[in-house]
Amino acid sequence: MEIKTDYFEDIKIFKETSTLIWFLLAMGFLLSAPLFAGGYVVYMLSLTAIYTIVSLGLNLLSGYAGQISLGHAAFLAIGAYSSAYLTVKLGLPFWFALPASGFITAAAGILIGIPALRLRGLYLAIATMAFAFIADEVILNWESVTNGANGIKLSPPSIGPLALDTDQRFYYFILAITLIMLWGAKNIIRSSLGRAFIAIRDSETAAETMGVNLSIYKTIAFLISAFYAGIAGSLFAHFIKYISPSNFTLLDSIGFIIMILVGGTGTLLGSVYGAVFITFLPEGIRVLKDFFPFFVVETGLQGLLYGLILLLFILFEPTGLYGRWLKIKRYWKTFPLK
Amino acid sequence: MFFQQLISGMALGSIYALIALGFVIIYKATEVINFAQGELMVWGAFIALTLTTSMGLPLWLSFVLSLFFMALFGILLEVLAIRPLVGKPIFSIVMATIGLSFVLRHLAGIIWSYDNFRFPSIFPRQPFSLGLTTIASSHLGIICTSFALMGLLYGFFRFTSLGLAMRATQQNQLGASIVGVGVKRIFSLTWALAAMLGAIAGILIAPVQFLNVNLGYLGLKAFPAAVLGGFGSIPGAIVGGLIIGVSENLAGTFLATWVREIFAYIILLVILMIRPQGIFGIQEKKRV
Amino acid sequence: MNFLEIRDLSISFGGIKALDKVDLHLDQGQVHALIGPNGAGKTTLFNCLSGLYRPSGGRIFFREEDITGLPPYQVAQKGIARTFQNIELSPNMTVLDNILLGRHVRNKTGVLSRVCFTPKVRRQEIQDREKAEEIIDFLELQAWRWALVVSLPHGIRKKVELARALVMEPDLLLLDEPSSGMNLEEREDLIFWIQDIKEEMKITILLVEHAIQMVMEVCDHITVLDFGRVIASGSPREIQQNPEVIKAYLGGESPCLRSVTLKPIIRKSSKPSGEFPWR
Repeated sequence: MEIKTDYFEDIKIFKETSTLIWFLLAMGFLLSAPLFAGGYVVYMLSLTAIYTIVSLGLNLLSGYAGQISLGHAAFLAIGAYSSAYLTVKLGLPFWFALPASGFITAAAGILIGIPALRLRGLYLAIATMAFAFIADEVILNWESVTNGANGIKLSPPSIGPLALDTDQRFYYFILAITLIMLWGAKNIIRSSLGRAFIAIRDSETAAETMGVNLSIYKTIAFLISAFYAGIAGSLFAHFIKYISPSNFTLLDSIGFIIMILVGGTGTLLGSVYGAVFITFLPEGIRVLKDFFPFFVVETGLQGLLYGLILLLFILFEPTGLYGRWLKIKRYWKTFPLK
Repeated sequence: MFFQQLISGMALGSIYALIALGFVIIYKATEVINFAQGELMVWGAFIALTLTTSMGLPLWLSFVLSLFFMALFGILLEVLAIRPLVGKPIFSIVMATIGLSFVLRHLAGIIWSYDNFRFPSIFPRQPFSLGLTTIASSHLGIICTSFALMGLLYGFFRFTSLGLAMRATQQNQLGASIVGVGVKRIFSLTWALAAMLGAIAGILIAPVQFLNVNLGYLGLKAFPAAVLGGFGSIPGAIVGGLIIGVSENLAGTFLATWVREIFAYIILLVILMIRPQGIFGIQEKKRV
Repeated sequence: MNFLEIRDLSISFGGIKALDKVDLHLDQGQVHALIGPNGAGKTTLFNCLSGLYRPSGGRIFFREEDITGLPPYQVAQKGIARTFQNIELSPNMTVLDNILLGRHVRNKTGVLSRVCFTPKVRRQEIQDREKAEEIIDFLELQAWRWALVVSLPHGIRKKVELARALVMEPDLLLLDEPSSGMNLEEREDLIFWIQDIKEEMKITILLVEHAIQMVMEVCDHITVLDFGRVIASGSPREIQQNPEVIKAYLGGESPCLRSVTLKPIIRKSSKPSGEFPWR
C-alpha cells in the first residue's frame, strides 16, 4: 500500500496514480467512441451514463445512508415527466427544464423523506414500494399532465443555439452531465456529509450522539438522491424521446436496486459497474434468446433473470462486482502470500 | 349494494388474511420477510389446475395433492434459498425474497404461459339470497372456508405439541432448541405451512375471476394487511386483511375505480405515519 | 457555576422504574464514577443525559442550562460526548473514518459547499484530520489507523470509540464501561489516559465502571446506584466503607465480612469481572 505523507493525499479524488490513469484511459475511450464505433454503441453508452446517474443517487441514499428505496423508478418518472411537461406542454427550453426537473424531483424526495424519517429497514422498504405503486397509478390517471397510458412524445432538445439533435451531440452532453454528477458524488463521500450518511446507516445512535441531526441528514439524503434521479429522468426522456408509464414500473425499481447490489453498495465505482451491467443485460438476454429460442416471451426472461441475479448475488457475492474487483486486486498485490 | 360490496370485500379480505397469515408465521419463526408469498399462492393454484385439467383428477383430489406438493415445495425453497439468508441484514433478506418472487413468477409464466385460465370453483354458481340482497356464493364460501381454516390453525397452534413447538421457536429460538425442539425442522415446517396456506388462498381466489401468473401481486397486499394488524401478530394479520379487503372495495365503489388499486397502499402509508406498530403490535425500543 | 446537575431524574419502562428520583452533582474537572450492580440504571442514566431517552421526571442542568429532553444531536453540540457499552462503530469503515465522525459537531460547512468541495471544506477536512491525528497519537492507535473496525479486537474498538468522543473536544465525557474487554496492560494505560484527559485536556469525566479497582484509583467522587436509586455518594474511601453499598453488592449482612476492608470488592452480579491477568 502506498504511504501517505500529506493530509491532502487522503482527501483528493484520485488517491492512487493508477486510478487516475485508468480514469484517463476510460475517458479517452468514451470521448473517442463515436468516432470509431457505430450509432448503436453510442446509444448504449448514453443509456449507461444515464443509468449511472440513477445508480449514484440510489447508492448515496441506500448504499451510504442506508435508507432502502424500493421505488426509485418513481423518482425517475417524476424527473422524466416534469421535463416532458415543461418542454412539450409549456414550451420551456431544455436548459431550464433539465435542472428544473432535478429540483422538482428533489422536492418530491423531501416529501417522501419526511415520513420516511420515522421508518426503519423493512418498514421503509415497504413504504417506498407503496409510494412507487401509488405514483405509478397517479401517472396513469393524471391525464392532463401525463397523457395517461398514451405517454408523451418529446423532440430533440437544444441549448440555446446549439441543437442536441444528433445522437453524438447528445451523447457528449450526457457524458458531461454524468461527469459532473460523479464529481458531486465523490465530493459528498470524501466530506463530512458522506461520513454522516455512513454513520446513519451503521448506527443511528452513534450518529445522533456525535451530533448528526438525523432528520436533516436523512432528508438531505433523499433530496440529493431524488435530484440525481430527476436529472437522469430528464435526460432519459429527451434521450428515448417517448415516455409512458410502462417505462417506470416495479421491475425498473428492482432493476435499479440490482444496479447497486451487483455493482457494490456503498461504493462509487460500484454504481458505474452496476449501470453497465443493467444496460447490457437486455443485450445478453437477446444473445441468450438466439441460443435458446424457446424463451419467447421477453418480459418473462428479463424478470426471471433479475430474480436469479438478485438471489445469486445476495447469497454468493454480497459485496458486488466492486467487492470482487477489490478481492482480485488484493490477491494480485499480495501474491504469492494468501 | 353496500352490503354486497361489504361481503365481496370480506371475501377478498379473507384471502388477504390468509396470505398475510402465511407471511406472518414465516416472519415470526425465522425473521425472514417473504415477498414471494403471493407466488406460492399462484403456484398452488396452477398445480391444482394442472392436476385437474391435464390429468383429469377429481377436484377435491387435485386440491389435496396440490397442498401436499406445495408443502414439499415450501420445504425445498426454505432449505435451498432461505436458510442461507438467516442472520443477514434485512436489506439482503428483502432483496433476496423479492428476487425469489420474480423467479417463481416468471418460472410459472414459462411453464404455464402468461394467459388467463378459467379455474373450477368448489362453490355453486347460483347466488345466495339473504333477505333483500343476493350475494355470490363463492364470496360466502371463501369467507366461511377462510374462517374455518383460521379456526383450525388456532386449534393447531394452541392444542397440538407441534403447534406449541412452532410457537416456542417463534418466541425464542435458543430457548426452544435447548428444550429439544429441532429448530431447523420447524423452519421447514413453517414454510410448508405457509406454502399450504398460500395454495389454499390461490385455490379460493382463482375461480373468482381467472387465474394468471401475475395474480401474485395480490401477495404484496399482505404487507398493508400485516402492517395494519401489527407486524408479527397473527390475529393482526387476519384483522388487517379483512379491513384492507373491505376498504378497498368500498373505496373503489364510492370514490373512484382507479383508487381501488392503490387504496391498500394508501392505508399502509397512513398507518406507518400515525401508528407504525399497527393495531396489535408493540413498539420496540433499542437498548444501547 | 454548577457544571452538571441532575435532579430527581426518573424514568420507567413498562412498570419498572429504571431511575427513581436520581440526584447527581458533578464539579468541573472531576472524574466521577457511577457504579452499581447490573440493572441498576447506570446506562439508562447515560441515555437520559445523551438525549436518547426522555425522562418522565426530573431535570438535567449542564452549565446551568436545562438540557432535559433535548435531542441527542443538540446534547452533542452543547459539548457532551459519550462512548457506549456495546460498541457503536461503523464496522466496515476504517478507524480513521470512524474517528472523523466525531468531528461532525465542529463542522461549519453547508451541504452545497460539501457537494462542491469548496476550499473551505478542504480546510475543514485538513483541520479535522489534524485533530484526529493528535488523538490517535495520544491513544497510540497509529498502527490501526487504516484497519477496518470489523477486524479489530474488542479492546481496540473501545479505544477507537474513546478517540471518536475525544475529537469532539467535549467539555463533558461520558464513558460507559471503558475498560470492559481490555487486558491488564490496556487497563493501566486507560488509567493514565483518564488522568491525562482530566488534567491536560481539561475534560470532566463521568464514567460507568465495573472494575472497582480502577475506579478507586482514578476517581475523585463516586455515586452508587441500585435499583434506579442513589444509595451512596462520596469519596472512594467513604464508599468503600458504606454499609448500604456493601449490602447492594453482597446482598445482605454477612457477619464474617463486617470487619474486612474491601479492596477489591467482590460483586454479586453475574457479569464476568474481566479481571483476568491476560486477555
